Amino acid sequence: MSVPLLEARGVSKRFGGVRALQGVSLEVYENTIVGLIGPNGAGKSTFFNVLTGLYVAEEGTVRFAGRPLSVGQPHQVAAAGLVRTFQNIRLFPQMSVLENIMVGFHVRTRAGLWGAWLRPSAVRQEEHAILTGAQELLDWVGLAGQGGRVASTLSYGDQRRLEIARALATRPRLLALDEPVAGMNGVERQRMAQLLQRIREQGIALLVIEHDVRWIAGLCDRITVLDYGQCLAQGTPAEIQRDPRVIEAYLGTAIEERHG
Amino acid sequence: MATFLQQLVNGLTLGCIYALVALGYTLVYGILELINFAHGDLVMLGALLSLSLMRLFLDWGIPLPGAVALALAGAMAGCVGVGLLLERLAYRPLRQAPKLAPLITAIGLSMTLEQGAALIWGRDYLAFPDLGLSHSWVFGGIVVTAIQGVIGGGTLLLLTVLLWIIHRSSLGRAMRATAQNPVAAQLLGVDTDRSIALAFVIGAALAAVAGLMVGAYYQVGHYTMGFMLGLKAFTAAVLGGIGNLQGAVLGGLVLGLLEALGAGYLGDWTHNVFGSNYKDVFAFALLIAVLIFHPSGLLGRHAPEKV
Repeated sequence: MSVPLLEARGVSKRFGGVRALQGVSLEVYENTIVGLIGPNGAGKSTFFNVLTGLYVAEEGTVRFAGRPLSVGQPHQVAAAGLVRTFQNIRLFPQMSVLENIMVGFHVRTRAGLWGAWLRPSAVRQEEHAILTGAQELLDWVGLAGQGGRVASTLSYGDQRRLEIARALATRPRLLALDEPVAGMNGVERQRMAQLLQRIREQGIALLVIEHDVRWIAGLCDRITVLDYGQCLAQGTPAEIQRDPRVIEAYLGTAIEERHG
Repeated sequence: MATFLQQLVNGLTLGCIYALVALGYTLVYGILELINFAHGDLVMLGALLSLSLMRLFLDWGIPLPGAVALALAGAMAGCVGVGLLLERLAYRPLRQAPKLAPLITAIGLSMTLEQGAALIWGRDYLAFPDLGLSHSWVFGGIVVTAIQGVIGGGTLLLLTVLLWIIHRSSLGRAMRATAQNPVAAQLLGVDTDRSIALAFVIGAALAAVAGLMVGAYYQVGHYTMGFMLGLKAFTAAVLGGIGNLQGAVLGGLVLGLLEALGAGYLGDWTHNVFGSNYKDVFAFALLIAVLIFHPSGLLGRHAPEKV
Protein backbone atom coordinates (compact mmCIF):
# COMPACT_ATOMS: atom_id res chain seq x y z
CA MET A 1 0.00 0.00 0.00
CA SER A 2 2.98 2.30 0.27
CA VAL A 3 3.21 3.54 -3.32
CA PRO A 4 -0.02 4.96 -4.73
CA LEU A 5 -1.18 3.76 -8.13
CA LEU A 6 -1.98 7.31 -9.13
CA GLU A 7 -0.22 10.22 -7.52
CA ALA A 8 -0.91 13.82 -8.52
CA ARG A 9 1.22 16.45 -6.80
CA GLY A 10 0.53 20.19 -6.91
CA VAL A 11 -1.20 20.18 -10.30
CA SER A 12 -2.02 23.68 -11.64
CA LYS A 13 -3.75 24.56 -14.87
CA ARG A 14 -4.68 27.99 -16.20
CA PHE A 15 -6.94 28.98 -19.06
CA GLY A 16 -5.94 32.55 -19.89
CA GLY A 17 -6.61 34.41 -16.65
CA VAL A 18 -8.74 31.69 -15.13
CA ARG A 19 -7.05 29.37 -12.68
CA ALA A 20 -8.86 26.13 -13.24
CA LEU A 21 -6.62 24.11 -10.92
CA GLN A 22 -4.32 25.35 -8.19
CA GLY A 23 -1.93 22.89 -6.62
CA VAL A 24 -4.27 19.92 -6.59
CA SER A 25 -2.87 16.74 -5.06
CA LEU A 26 -4.61 13.41 -5.01
CA GLU A 27 -3.72 9.77 -4.53
CA VAL A 28 -5.46 6.62 -5.58
CA TYR A 29 -4.22 3.34 -4.15
CA GLU A 30 -4.70 -0.09 -5.67
CA ASN A 31 -8.06 -1.67 -5.02
CA THR A 32 -9.76 1.48 -3.77
CA ILE A 33 -12.56 3.70 -4.98
CA VAL A 34 -11.87 7.41 -4.68
CA GLY A 35 -14.53 10.07 -5.15
CA LEU A 36 -13.92 13.51 -6.56
CA ILE A 37 -16.67 15.96 -5.74
CA GLY A 38 -17.19 19.67 -5.93
CA PRO A 39 -19.55 22.28 -7.34
CA ASN A 40 -19.85 22.90 -11.07
CA GLY A 41 -16.74 24.61 -12.35
CA ALA A 42 -14.63 23.43 -9.43
CA GLY A 43 -12.12 21.89 -11.85
CA LYS A 44 -13.07 18.21 -11.64
CA SER A 45 -13.23 17.56 -15.37
CA THR A 46 -10.16 19.71 -15.99
CA PHE A 47 -8.30 17.53 -13.51
CA PHE A 48 -9.42 14.43 -15.41
CA ASN A 49 -8.20 15.96 -18.65
CA VAL A 50 -4.78 16.58 -17.10
CA LEU A 51 -4.62 13.02 -15.75
CA THR A 52 -5.34 11.52 -19.15
CA GLY A 53 -2.94 13.74 -21.08
CA LEU A 54 -5.53 15.84 -22.92
CA TYR A 55 -4.35 18.97 -21.10
CA VAL A 56 -0.82 19.81 -20.15
CA ALA A 57 -0.53 21.17 -16.60
CA GLU A 58 1.68 24.22 -16.03
CA GLU A 59 2.85 22.95 -12.68
CA GLY A 60 2.86 19.72 -10.75
CA THR A 61 3.48 16.10 -11.57
CA VAL A 62 1.29 13.12 -12.23
CA ARG A 63 2.78 9.71 -11.63
CA PHE A 64 1.04 6.50 -12.52
CA ALA A 65 2.28 3.12 -11.29
CA GLY A 66 5.45 4.82 -10.14
CA ARG A 67 6.26 6.46 -13.48
CA PRO A 68 5.51 9.95 -14.77
CA LEU A 69 2.66 10.05 -17.28
CA SER A 70 3.75 10.97 -20.78
CA VAL A 71 2.46 14.47 -21.35
CA GLY A 72 0.38 15.25 -24.41
CA GLN A 73 0.19 11.61 -25.52
CA PRO A 74 -3.28 10.46 -24.50
CA HIS A 75 -3.02 7.11 -26.27
CA GLN A 76 0.01 6.19 -24.17
CA VAL A 77 -1.89 6.93 -20.99
CA ALA A 78 -4.33 4.16 -21.88
CA ALA A 79 -1.44 1.86 -22.68
CA ALA A 80 -0.01 2.56 -19.22
CA GLY A 81 -3.28 1.36 -17.67
CA LEU A 82 -5.31 4.52 -17.00
CA VAL A 83 -8.55 4.91 -18.91
CA ARG A 84 -11.56 7.18 -18.52
CA THR A 85 -15.15 7.77 -19.50
CA PHE A 86 -16.79 11.09 -20.30
CA GLN A 87 -19.45 13.24 -18.74
CA ASN A 88 -21.13 13.51 -22.14
CA ILE A 89 -20.92 9.95 -23.42
CA ARG A 90 -18.49 9.52 -26.30
CA LEU A 91 -19.18 6.27 -28.07
CA PHE A 92 -18.38 5.43 -31.66
CA PRO A 93 -21.99 6.02 -32.64
CA GLN A 94 -22.12 4.24 -36.00
CA MET A 95 -20.25 1.13 -34.90
CA SER A 96 -21.97 -1.85 -33.37
CA VAL A 97 -21.99 -2.26 -29.60
CA LEU A 98 -19.57 -5.16 -29.88
CA GLU A 99 -17.21 -3.22 -32.15
CA ASN A 100 -17.12 -0.35 -29.68
CA ILE A 101 -15.77 -2.76 -27.08
CA MET A 102 -13.40 -4.33 -29.59
CA VAL A 103 -11.76 -0.94 -30.17
CA GLY A 104 -10.86 -1.00 -26.49
CA PHE A 105 -8.77 -4.12 -27.10
CA HIS A 106 -6.73 -2.32 -29.75
CA VAL A 107 -4.16 -1.06 -27.27
CA ARG A 108 -3.37 -4.63 -26.16
CA THR A 109 -3.15 -6.14 -29.65
CA ARG A 110 0.04 -6.82 -31.50
CA ALA A 111 -1.05 -7.17 -35.11
CA GLY A 112 0.23 -4.40 -37.33
CA LEU A 113 -0.43 -3.73 -40.98
CA TRP A 114 2.25 -6.24 -41.97
CA GLY A 115 1.29 -8.85 -39.44
CA ALA A 116 -1.93 -9.48 -41.30
CA TRP A 117 0.06 -10.57 -44.34
CA LEU A 118 3.05 -12.22 -42.72
CA ARG A 119 1.33 -14.18 -39.96
CA PRO A 120 -2.32 -14.48 -40.91
CA SER A 121 -3.04 -17.34 -38.51
CA ALA A 122 -1.72 -15.43 -35.50
CA VAL A 123 -3.84 -12.44 -36.50
CA ARG A 124 -6.91 -14.63 -36.87
CA GLN A 125 -6.33 -16.07 -33.42
CA GLU A 126 -5.94 -12.64 -31.93
CA GLU A 127 -9.08 -11.43 -33.64
CA HIS A 128 -10.94 -14.41 -32.28
CA ALA A 129 -9.65 -13.69 -28.78
CA ILE A 130 -10.77 -10.07 -29.09
CA LEU A 131 -14.24 -11.14 -30.19
CA THR A 132 -14.56 -13.60 -27.31
CA GLY A 133 -13.26 -11.06 -24.81
CA ALA A 134 -15.66 -8.41 -26.07
CA GLN A 135 -18.59 -10.82 -25.77
CA GLU A 136 -17.62 -11.67 -22.20
CA LEU A 137 -17.36 -8.00 -21.24
CA LEU A 138 -20.70 -7.30 -22.87
CA ASP A 139 -22.37 -9.94 -20.71
CA TRP A 140 -20.42 -8.87 -17.65
CA VAL A 141 -21.66 -5.28 -17.66
CA GLY A 142 -25.22 -6.44 -18.30
CA LEU A 143 -25.60 -5.80 -22.01
CA ALA A 144 -25.95 -9.44 -23.07
CA GLY A 145 -27.63 -9.82 -26.42
CA GLN A 146 -27.14 -6.20 -27.45
CA GLY A 147 -23.83 -6.72 -29.28
CA GLY A 148 -25.21 -6.42 -32.79
CA ARG A 149 -27.02 -3.13 -32.26
CA VAL A 150 -25.67 0.17 -33.51
CA ALA A 151 -24.23 1.90 -30.44
CA SER A 152 -26.22 5.11 -30.83
CA THR A 153 -29.51 3.21 -30.60
CA LEU A 154 -28.88 2.01 -27.04
CA SER A 155 -30.76 3.58 -24.17
CA TYR A 156 -28.94 6.23 -22.16
CA GLY A 157 -28.14 3.97 -19.23
CA ASP A 158 -26.93 1.21 -21.54
CA GLN A 159 -24.70 3.68 -23.38
CA ARG A 160 -23.04 4.43 -20.02
CA ARG A 161 -22.53 0.71 -19.46
CA LEU A 162 -21.11 0.31 -22.94
CA GLU A 163 -18.66 3.15 -22.34
CA ILE A 164 -17.49 1.37 -19.19
CA ALA A 165 -17.22 -1.99 -20.95
CA ARG A 166 -15.18 -0.36 -23.70
CA ALA A 167 -12.85 1.18 -21.12
CA LEU A 168 -12.47 -2.17 -19.33
CA ALA A 169 -11.41 -3.75 -22.62
CA THR A 170 -8.14 -1.80 -22.42
CA ARG A 171 -7.42 -3.83 -19.23
CA PRO A 172 -6.87 -0.76 -17.07
CA ARG A 173 -5.43 -0.67 -13.58
CA LEU A 174 -7.34 2.52 -12.87
CA LEU A 175 -10.71 3.43 -14.33
CA ALA A 176 -11.66 7.11 -14.11
CA LEU A 177 -15.37 7.86 -14.46
CA ASP A 178 -16.73 11.34 -15.13
CA GLU A 179 -20.25 11.51 -13.66
CA PRO A 180 -21.25 7.91 -14.42
CA VAL A 181 -24.75 8.27 -12.96
CA ALA A 182 -25.63 11.74 -14.28
CA GLY A 183 -29.24 11.76 -15.39
CA MET A 184 -30.04 8.34 -13.90
CA ASN A 185 -32.86 7.51 -11.52
CA GLY A 186 -32.42 5.86 -8.13
CA VAL A 187 -32.68 2.27 -9.35
CA GLU A 188 -30.20 2.87 -12.15
CA ARG A 189 -27.80 4.57 -9.72
CA GLN A 190 -27.99 1.54 -7.47
CA ARG A 191 -27.22 -0.80 -10.36
CA MET A 192 -24.30 1.39 -11.43
CA ALA A 193 -22.89 1.34 -7.88
CA GLN A 194 -23.08 -2.46 -7.93
CA LEU A 195 -21.26 -2.58 -11.26
CA LEU A 196 -18.51 -0.30 -9.95
CA GLN A 197 -18.10 -2.48 -6.84
CA ARG A 198 -17.75 -5.54 -9.06
CA ILE A 199 -15.10 -3.72 -11.11
CA ARG A 200 -13.16 -3.00 -7.94
CA GLU A 201 -13.40 -6.67 -7.01
CA GLN A 202 -11.56 -7.40 -10.27
CA GLY A 203 -8.58 -5.52 -8.83
CA ILE A 204 -9.20 -2.28 -10.72
CA ALA A 205 -9.03 0.98 -8.80
CA LEU A 206 -11.66 3.63 -9.50
CA LEU A 207 -11.68 7.40 -9.47
CA VAL A 208 -15.22 8.76 -9.71
CA ILE A 209 -16.49 12.29 -10.30
CA GLU A 210 -20.03 12.76 -9.04
CA HIS A 211 -22.42 15.36 -7.70
CA ASP A 212 -24.68 13.09 -5.71
CA VAL A 213 -22.96 13.12 -2.31
CA ARG A 214 -25.01 10.41 -0.73
CA TRP A 215 -24.43 8.08 -3.68
CA ILE A 216 -20.70 8.65 -3.72
CA ALA A 217 -20.37 8.43 0.07
CA GLY A 218 -21.89 4.97 -0.06
CA LEU A 219 -19.48 3.88 -2.77
CA CYS A 220 -16.06 5.37 -2.04
CA ASP A 221 -13.25 4.61 0.36
CA ARG A 222 -11.96 8.15 0.22
CA ILE A 223 -13.25 11.44 -1.14
CA THR A 224 -11.47 14.57 -2.34
CA VAL A 225 -13.44 17.81 -2.46
CA LEU A 226 -12.48 20.43 -5.03
CA ASP A 227 -13.65 24.04 -4.85
CA TYR A 228 -12.45 26.87 -7.07
CA GLY A 229 -9.70 24.63 -8.40
CA GLN A 230 -8.28 23.85 -4.97
CA CYS A 231 -8.43 20.86 -2.68
CA LEU A 232 -10.89 21.79 0.01
CA ALA A 233 -10.79 18.56 1.95
CA GLN A 234 -9.73 14.93 1.72
CA GLY A 235 -10.79 12.00 3.84
CA THR A 236 -13.20 9.14 4.37
CA PRO A 237 -16.83 9.75 3.40
CA ALA A 238 -17.77 10.16 7.07
CA GLU A 239 -15.03 12.73 7.63
CA ILE A 240 -16.02 14.65 4.52
CA GLN A 241 -19.67 14.76 5.47
CA ARG A 242 -18.73 16.13 8.91
CA ASP A 243 -16.15 18.64 7.65
CA PRO A 244 -17.48 22.14 8.37
CA ARG A 245 -15.62 23.69 5.40
CA VAL A 246 -17.16 21.19 3.04
CA ILE A 247 -20.61 21.72 4.51
CA GLU A 248 -20.24 25.44 4.17
CA ALA A 249 -18.74 25.51 0.69
CA TYR A 250 -20.56 22.77 -1.09
CA LEU A 251 -22.84 20.43 0.77
CA GLY A 252 -24.46 23.30 2.63
CA THR A 253 -28.15 23.03 3.05
CA ALA A 254 -28.44 19.64 1.42
CA ILE A 255 -26.70 17.92 4.33
CA GLU A 256 -28.58 19.92 6.95
CA GLU A 257 -31.85 18.98 5.35
CA ARG A 258 -30.95 15.33 5.30
CA HIS A 259 -29.70 15.19 8.86
CA GLY A 260 -32.01 17.68 10.39
CA MET B 1 -28.76 -3.40 -77.71
CA ALA B 2 -25.21 -4.36 -78.65
CA THR B 3 -24.11 -0.73 -78.35
CA PHE B 4 -25.76 -0.54 -74.94
CA LEU B 5 -24.06 -3.65 -73.62
CA GLN B 6 -20.74 -2.61 -75.12
CA GLN B 7 -20.94 0.78 -73.45
CA LEU B 8 -21.91 -0.98 -70.23
CA VAL B 9 -18.66 -2.95 -70.33
CA ASN B 10 -16.61 0.12 -71.19
CA GLY B 11 -18.38 2.17 -68.52
CA LEU B 12 -17.81 -0.42 -65.82
CA THR B 13 -14.11 -0.54 -66.67
CA LEU B 14 -13.84 3.21 -66.37
CA GLY B 15 -16.01 3.07 -63.26
CA CYS B 16 -13.61 0.63 -61.58
CA ILE B 17 -10.77 3.11 -61.99
CA TYR B 18 -12.92 5.97 -60.68
CA ALA B 19 -13.96 3.82 -57.76
CA LEU B 20 -10.37 3.04 -56.74
CA VAL B 21 -9.45 6.72 -56.85
CA ALA B 22 -12.69 7.82 -55.17
CA LEU B 23 -11.89 5.51 -52.26
CA GLY B 24 -8.75 7.53 -51.56
CA TYR B 25 -10.75 10.75 -51.37
CA THR B 26 -13.42 9.26 -49.19
CA LEU B 27 -11.03 7.53 -46.77
CA VAL B 28 -9.19 10.75 -46.00
CA TYR B 29 -12.38 12.79 -45.91
CA GLY B 30 -14.03 10.30 -43.58
CA ILE B 31 -11.29 10.62 -41.01
CA LEU B 32 -10.13 14.26 -41.38
CA GLU B 33 -12.97 15.99 -43.24
CA LEU B 34 -10.26 17.09 -45.63
CA ILE B 35 -10.58 16.99 -49.40
CA ASN B 36 -7.13 15.92 -50.49
CA PHE B 37 -7.05 17.49 -53.94
CA ALA B 38 -3.53 16.19 -54.47
CA HIS B 39 -4.92 12.66 -54.54
CA GLY B 40 -5.55 12.71 -58.31
CA ASP B 41 -1.91 13.57 -58.83
CA LEU B 42 -0.90 10.51 -56.86
CA VAL B 43 -2.66 8.51 -59.56
CA MET B 44 -0.59 10.34 -62.17
CA LEU B 45 2.52 9.62 -60.12
CA GLY B 46 1.55 5.95 -59.94
CA ALA B 47 1.08 5.82 -63.71
CA LEU B 48 4.35 7.54 -64.57
CA LEU B 49 6.34 5.62 -61.95
CA SER B 50 5.05 2.30 -63.20
CA LEU B 51 5.67 3.41 -66.78
CA SER B 52 9.32 4.24 -66.11
CA LEU B 53 9.94 1.25 -63.86
CA MET B 54 8.39 -1.12 -66.37
CA ARG B 55 10.60 0.19 -69.15
CA LEU B 56 13.61 -0.15 -66.86
CA PHE B 57 12.82 -3.70 -65.79
CA LEU B 58 12.06 -4.76 -69.37
CA ASP B 59 15.40 -3.31 -70.43
CA TRP B 60 17.05 -5.44 -67.78
CA GLY B 61 15.50 -8.44 -69.47
CA ILE B 62 13.01 -9.27 -66.74
CA PRO B 63 10.05 -11.10 -68.29
CA LEU B 64 6.87 -9.09 -68.68
CA PRO B 65 4.78 -10.45 -65.78
CA GLY B 66 7.70 -9.97 -63.39
CA ALA B 67 8.39 -6.49 -64.71
CA VAL B 68 4.74 -5.50 -64.25
CA ALA B 69 4.60 -6.87 -60.73
CA LEU B 70 7.85 -5.19 -59.72
CA ALA B 71 6.83 -1.90 -61.34
CA LEU B 72 3.50 -2.00 -59.53
CA ALA B 73 5.24 -2.66 -56.21
CA GLY B 74 7.65 0.19 -56.90
CA ALA B 75 4.86 2.58 -57.89
CA MET B 76 2.89 1.66 -54.76
CA ALA B 77 5.92 2.24 -52.57
CA GLY B 78 6.56 5.58 -54.27
CA CYS B 79 2.97 6.76 -53.98
CA VAL B 80 2.69 5.64 -50.36
CA GLY B 81 5.92 7.47 -49.58
CA VAL B 82 4.71 10.66 -51.20
CA GLY B 83 1.27 10.30 -49.59
CA LEU B 84 2.84 9.93 -46.15
CA LEU B 85 5.11 12.88 -46.81
CA LEU B 86 2.14 15.07 -47.75
CA GLU B 87 0.30 14.04 -44.60
CA ARG B 88 3.27 14.54 -42.31
CA LEU B 89 4.69 17.76 -43.73
CA ALA B 90 1.67 19.56 -45.15
CA TYR B 91 -1.56 18.38 -43.52
CA ARG B 92 -0.60 17.39 -39.98
CA PRO B 93 0.73 20.83 -39.02
CA LEU B 94 -2.58 22.30 -40.20
CA ARG B 95 -4.85 19.90 -38.36
CA GLN B 96 -6.05 22.52 -35.89
CA ALA B 97 -6.18 25.28 -38.53
CA PRO B 98 -9.43 26.52 -40.10
CA LYS B 99 -10.73 24.15 -42.78
CA LEU B 100 -9.78 26.43 -45.67
CA ALA B 101 -6.05 26.29 -44.90
CA PRO B 102 -5.58 22.57 -45.58
CA LEU B 103 -7.90 22.83 -48.59
CA ILE B 104 -5.77 25.51 -50.20
CA THR B 105 -2.67 23.56 -49.23
CA ALA B 106 -4.14 20.56 -51.05
CA ILE B 107 -4.60 22.57 -54.24
CA GLY B 108 -1.05 23.87 -53.93
CA LEU B 109 0.29 20.36 -53.42
CA SER B 110 -1.59 19.21 -56.50
CA MET B 111 0.16 21.84 -58.61
CA THR B 112 3.49 21.04 -57.00
CA LEU B 113 3.17 17.36 -57.81
CA GLU B 114 2.15 18.11 -61.39
CA GLN B 115 5.00 20.49 -62.04
CA GLY B 116 7.42 18.20 -60.24
CA ALA B 117 6.34 15.37 -62.52
CA ALA B 118 6.76 17.64 -65.55
CA LEU B 119 10.36 18.27 -64.49
CA ILE B 120 11.07 14.57 -64.16
CA TRP B 121 9.08 13.11 -67.04
CA GLY B 122 8.81 16.12 -69.34
CA ARG B 123 5.71 17.63 -70.88
CA ASP B 124 5.23 15.17 -73.73
CA TYR B 125 2.79 12.29 -73.87
CA LEU B 126 4.64 9.12 -73.03
CA ALA B 127 3.81 5.75 -74.52
CA PHE B 128 2.90 3.15 -71.92
CA PRO B 129 4.69 -0.18 -72.45
CA ASP B 130 2.47 -2.82 -74.03
CA LEU B 131 1.31 -5.22 -71.33
CA GLY B 132 0.27 -7.79 -73.90
CA LEU B 133 -3.31 -7.51 -72.77
CA SER B 134 -4.79 -6.44 -76.09
CA HIS B 135 -6.29 -9.87 -76.59
CA SER B 136 -10.06 -9.67 -76.73
CA TRP B 137 -13.07 -11.93 -76.65
CA VAL B 138 -16.39 -11.43 -78.39
CA PHE B 139 -19.55 -12.42 -76.55
CA GLY B 140 -22.57 -11.98 -78.82
CA GLY B 141 -21.18 -8.90 -80.47
CA ILE B 142 -19.74 -7.38 -77.28
CA VAL B 143 -15.98 -7.03 -77.18
CA VAL B 144 -14.24 -7.50 -73.85
CA THR B 145 -10.50 -6.95 -73.84
CA ALA B 146 -8.06 -8.65 -71.50
CA ILE B 147 -7.10 -5.33 -69.91
CA GLN B 148 -10.76 -4.71 -69.08
CA GLY B 149 -10.90 -8.10 -67.42
CA VAL B 150 -7.73 -7.36 -65.46
CA ILE B 151 -9.06 -3.98 -64.34
CA GLY B 152 -12.37 -5.46 -63.24
CA GLY B 153 -10.78 -8.41 -61.46
CA GLY B 154 -8.08 -6.30 -59.86
CA THR B 155 -10.64 -3.83 -58.56
CA LEU B 156 -12.76 -6.59 -57.09
CA LEU B 157 -9.74 -8.08 -55.34
CA LEU B 158 -8.63 -4.74 -53.92
CA LEU B 159 -12.12 -3.92 -52.71
CA THR B 160 -12.32 -7.23 -50.89
CA VAL B 161 -8.99 -6.65 -49.19
CA LEU B 162 -9.89 -3.06 -48.33
CA LEU B 163 -13.26 -3.91 -46.84
CA TRP B 164 -11.63 -6.67 -44.84
CA ILE B 165 -9.02 -4.28 -43.43
CA ILE B 166 -11.58 -1.61 -42.58
CA HIS B 167 -14.31 -3.79 -41.14
CA ARG B 168 -12.60 -6.92 -39.85
CA SER B 169 -9.18 -5.92 -38.59
CA SER B 170 -8.03 -4.21 -35.44
CA LEU B 171 -6.35 -1.45 -37.47
CA GLY B 172 -9.51 -0.81 -39.45
CA ARG B 173 -11.56 -0.58 -36.27
CA ALA B 174 -9.06 1.89 -34.89
CA MET B 175 -9.41 3.94 -38.09
CA ARG B 176 -13.18 3.99 -37.92
CA ALA B 177 -13.04 4.85 -34.23
CA THR B 178 -10.72 7.75 -35.03
CA ALA B 179 -13.13 8.95 -37.70
CA GLN B 180 -16.16 8.78 -35.40
CA ASN B 181 -14.68 10.22 -32.22
CA PRO B 182 -10.95 11.02 -32.21
CA VAL B 183 -10.76 12.07 -28.54
CA ALA B 184 -12.42 8.92 -27.25
CA ALA B 185 -10.27 6.82 -29.57
CA GLN B 186 -7.09 8.43 -28.24
CA LEU B 187 -8.07 7.87 -24.64
CA LEU B 188 -8.73 4.22 -25.36
CA GLY B 189 -5.15 3.93 -26.54
CA VAL B 190 -5.63 4.36 -30.28
CA ASP B 191 -2.72 6.23 -31.82
CA THR B 192 -4.88 8.55 -33.90
CA ASP B 193 -1.92 10.00 -35.80
CA ARG B 194 -1.19 6.50 -36.99
CA SER B 195 -4.82 5.89 -37.97
CA ILE B 196 -4.81 9.06 -40.04
CA ALA B 197 -1.51 8.15 -41.69
CA LEU B 198 -2.97 4.74 -42.49
CA ALA B 199 -5.85 6.36 -44.38
CA PHE B 200 -3.29 8.17 -46.55
CA VAL B 201 -1.26 4.99 -47.02
CA ILE B 202 -4.24 2.95 -48.19
CA GLY B 203 -5.46 5.76 -50.44
CA ALA B 204 -2.03 6.20 -52.00
CA ALA B 205 -1.61 2.47 -52.59
CA LEU B 206 -4.97 2.33 -54.36
CA ALA B 207 -3.99 5.41 -56.37
CA ALA B 208 -0.83 3.66 -57.57
CA VAL B 209 -2.82 0.66 -58.77
CA ALA B 210 -5.35 2.94 -60.44
CA GLY B 211 -2.46 4.78 -62.10
CA LEU B 212 -1.08 1.59 -63.59
CA MET B 213 -4.55 0.58 -64.75
CA VAL B 214 -5.39 3.87 -66.38
CA GLY B 215 -1.97 4.04 -68.03
CA ALA B 216 -2.29 0.54 -69.38
CA TYR B 217 -5.89 1.12 -70.51
CA TYR B 218 -5.23 4.27 -72.52
CA GLN B 219 -1.58 3.28 -73.18
CA VAL B 220 -0.37 6.78 -72.45
CA GLY B 221 1.11 8.72 -69.54
CA HIS B 222 1.21 12.47 -69.03
CA TYR B 223 1.92 14.77 -66.10
CA THR B 224 -1.58 16.32 -66.20
CA MET B 225 -3.45 13.02 -66.41
CA GLY B 226 -4.28 13.12 -62.70
CA PHE B 227 -6.19 16.38 -62.79
CA MET B 228 -9.38 15.47 -64.63
CA LEU B 229 -9.31 11.92 -63.29
CA GLY B 230 -8.99 13.22 -59.75
CA LEU B 231 -11.81 15.67 -60.25
CA LYS B 232 -14.08 12.98 -61.58
CA ALA B 233 -13.17 10.54 -58.83
CA PHE B 234 -13.84 13.22 -56.26
CA THR B 235 -17.22 13.82 -57.87
CA ALA B 236 -17.85 10.08 -57.75
CA ALA B 237 -17.07 10.09 -54.03
CA VAL B 238 -19.51 12.96 -53.48
CA LEU B 239 -22.14 11.27 -55.63
CA GLY B 240 -21.88 8.10 -53.54
CA GLY B 241 -21.84 10.04 -50.28
CA ILE B 242 -18.40 11.23 -49.25
CA GLY B 243 -16.96 9.42 -46.27
CA ASN B 244 -18.81 6.23 -47.20
CA LEU B 245 -16.65 3.48 -48.73
CA GLN B 246 -19.44 1.59 -50.47
CA GLY B 247 -20.68 4.95 -51.71
CA ALA B 248 -17.34 5.72 -53.34
CA VAL B 249 -17.45 2.43 -55.24
CA LEU B 250 -21.06 2.92 -56.28
CA GLY B 251 -20.43 6.55 -57.26
CA GLY B 252 -17.41 5.54 -59.34
CA LEU B 253 -19.32 2.85 -61.20
CA VAL B 254 -22.33 5.10 -61.81
CA LEU B 255 -20.13 7.90 -63.09
CA GLY B 256 -18.24 5.54 -65.40
CA LEU B 257 -21.51 4.16 -66.76
CA LEU B 258 -23.04 7.59 -67.29
CA GLU B 259 -19.97 8.75 -69.14
CA ALA B 260 -19.85 5.68 -71.37
CA LEU B 261 -23.56 5.76 -72.13
CA GLY B 262 -23.32 9.48 -72.85
CA ALA B 263 -20.46 8.81 -75.23
CA GLY B 264 -22.43 6.04 -76.94
CA TYR B 265 -25.79 7.72 -77.30
CA LEU B 266 -25.48 11.51 -77.19
CA GLY B 267 -25.04 11.73 -80.96
CA ASP B 268 -28.10 9.59 -81.67
CA TRP B 269 -30.29 11.34 -79.13
CA THR B 270 -29.49 14.87 -80.28
CA HIS B 271 -29.22 14.13 -84.01
CA ASN B 272 -25.52 14.90 -83.80
CA VAL B 273 -25.99 18.38 -82.32
CA PHE B 274 -23.93 17.11 -79.38
CA GLY B 275 -21.33 14.44 -80.07
CA SER B 276 -19.66 11.99 -77.74
CA ASN B 277 -17.23 14.73 -76.75
CA TYR B 278 -20.08 16.07 -74.60
CA LYS B 279 -20.04 12.93 -72.46
CA ASP B 280 -18.59 14.77 -69.46
CA VAL B 281 -21.27 17.45 -69.67
CA PHE B 282 -23.91 14.75 -69.80
CA ALA B 283 -22.47 12.87 -66.84
CA PHE B 284 -22.01 15.96 -64.72
CA ALA B 285 -25.47 17.33 -65.51
CA LEU B 286 -26.96 14.08 -64.20
CA LEU B 287 -24.74 14.30 -61.14
CA ILE B 288 -25.95 17.78 -60.38
CA ALA B 289 -29.51 16.55 -60.71
CA VAL B 290 -28.85 13.72 -58.23
CA LEU B 291 -27.21 16.06 -55.75
CA ILE B 292 -30.07 18.56 -55.95
CA PHE B 293 -32.55 15.90 -54.86
CA HIS B 294 -30.21 13.97 -52.58
CA PRO B 295 -27.49 16.33 -51.34
CA SER B 296 -25.77 13.80 -49.07
CA GLY B 297 -25.16 11.49 -52.03
CA LEU B 298 -26.56 8.10 -52.93
CA LEU B 299 -25.43 6.30 -49.77
CA GLY B 300 -24.40 9.29 -47.67
CA ARG B 301 -25.79 9.96 -44.26
CA HIS B 302 -27.06 13.35 -43.32
CA ALA B 303 -24.68 15.64 -41.49
CA PRO B 304 -23.27 13.86 -38.43
CA GLU B 305 -25.05 14.60 -35.18
CA LYS B 306 -23.48 17.16 -32.93
CA VAL B 307 -22.87 15.91 -29.41
